[in-house]
Amino acid sequence: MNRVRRALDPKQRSSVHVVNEDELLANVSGDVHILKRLTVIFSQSSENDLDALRSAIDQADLIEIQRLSHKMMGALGDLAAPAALAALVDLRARAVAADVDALSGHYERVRSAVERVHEVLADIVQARSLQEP
Amino acid sequence: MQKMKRILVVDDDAVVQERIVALLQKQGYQASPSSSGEESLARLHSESFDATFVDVQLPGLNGIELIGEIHEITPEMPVIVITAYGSLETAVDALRAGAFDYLLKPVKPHDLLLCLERAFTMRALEQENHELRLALNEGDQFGDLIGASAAMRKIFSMIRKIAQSTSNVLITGESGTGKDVLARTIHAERNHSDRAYIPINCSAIPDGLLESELFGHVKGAFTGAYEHKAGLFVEADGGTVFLDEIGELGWSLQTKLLRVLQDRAVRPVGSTETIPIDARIIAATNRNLKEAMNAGEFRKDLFYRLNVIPVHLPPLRERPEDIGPLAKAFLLRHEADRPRRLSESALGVLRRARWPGNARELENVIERTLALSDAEVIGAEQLIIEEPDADHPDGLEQVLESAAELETPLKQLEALYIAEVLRRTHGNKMQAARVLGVNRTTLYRRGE
Repeated sequence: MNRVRRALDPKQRSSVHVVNEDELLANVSGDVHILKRLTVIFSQSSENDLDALRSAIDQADLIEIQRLSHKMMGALGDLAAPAALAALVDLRARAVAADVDALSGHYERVRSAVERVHEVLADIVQARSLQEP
Repeated sequence: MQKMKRILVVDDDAVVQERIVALLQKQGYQASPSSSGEESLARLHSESFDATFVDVQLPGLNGIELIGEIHEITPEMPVIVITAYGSLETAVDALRAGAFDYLLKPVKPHDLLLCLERAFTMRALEQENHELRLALNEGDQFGDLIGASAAMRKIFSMIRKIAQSTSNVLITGESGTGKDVLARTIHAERNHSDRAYIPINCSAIPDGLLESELFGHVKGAFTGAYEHKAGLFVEADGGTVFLDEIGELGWSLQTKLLRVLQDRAVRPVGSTETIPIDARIIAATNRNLKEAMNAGEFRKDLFYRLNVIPVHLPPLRERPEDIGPLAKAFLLRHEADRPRRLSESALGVLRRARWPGNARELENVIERTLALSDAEVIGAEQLIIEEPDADHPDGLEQVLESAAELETPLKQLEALYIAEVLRRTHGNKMQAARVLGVNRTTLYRRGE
């Protein structure tokens, strides 16, 4: 319930930076069912992608880091998540520049940003579900 | 009820994939997801789709390469590319590769649907344009005759004029080129099928029997002639008699036929009376009648009587442009209830084959392939074409023979060798490029 209130209260939720709700809803043509499905898929796929990204960073596999970053950027663009998207753009830029030392730090920022996306998405879905007739 | 349009969505990210699929389904499309280029190609080989969305960055085969491969399988299907964050260079590459259009990520629902509608509108216009051209007889067909080559178009334009006259026609061409089809088309154009079309193969019937078949006989003319018979020339009655394999007609019957053509009347076997005839005579042969005349095997006067309007049907190997339209027509003829398609690579293989048996052999190959393959889209590997026999050296021997003459320019030898490698790899350009040790772009350039 706390989360629902938070989702409904723009002041308590600095969520526009995490997920731009208007843009997100426009991306799914206002269809809450599609939104729910995307949220579930994202919670599964992002976990796998983050694990794969961690593993690629451990192995300093720069090509794979770029590929995975690009893949996740597609999903975060669809979910209208600018902060996580920006974190991934930075990580990818570090991989392109072969700045191996900076990768782990950037990865943590990505992981944390993605976790925030999960939270805000869950809030939005819950709030929108309650509004449904 | 209108058929639901089927859309394939190729993207390696599950969220992007699901969103596009869901938005399309919401609009009544039957959308299916695919995660890789390889998987999508396998599906396009076995299923039919009306359009495909392709992400540029895919694991394995990338989106730009995928467009080329898709167009090999289904050249008419629109492919719309999805590219990340305004990469104009990638978008231009995609359009050069044959994409209908590109969309930038994240794709807006409105843009997605608008782009798809535009693609379908464009496709419908192209289809309509094609049908209009066909209706104007500037297309690939005239009656049952099919062909897009200049030679066939010339024949199409002659048919109406030939049909308006009553002069005799002599059709020449190798076996299987469609001489009978041409004769029937001329007949249909003149008579609109309300008069008889009587084909007879002069080589299939002994001369004695053929005379009676053509000119008729009276009762008791010979043993077994129990009744009066009118003969095909009389039965034609305003229609057409098609004398196939006229070059095989015996000397004695040639003389009798000549008289019929001169007098426009027949004398039935055993009769002393002549009966006037009203029949258009179309003869055909795969023999060189001029050589037969010089060898004393064919009457010169009969040749000139028959050869009033000569029409030559060139062999299929001299008109490769006709192979695609013919193959498509045969697909439809043999499986009208379940129309299937040939991939571009399969068409390439067919175009490069030698076809000693001409259109008839091509039809056999299509019929055999349809019987033995279940694929919706028939690929090069599914075609069953008989290997050339010892009398017809294969392409590689041809290349070596040309090289041995020491007169063939290098460029021509290279083209022959590339064509042979493509034939042996069943038109698979990637494989051919590997064999030749060049990249695909070089192969395309040199193959032009």
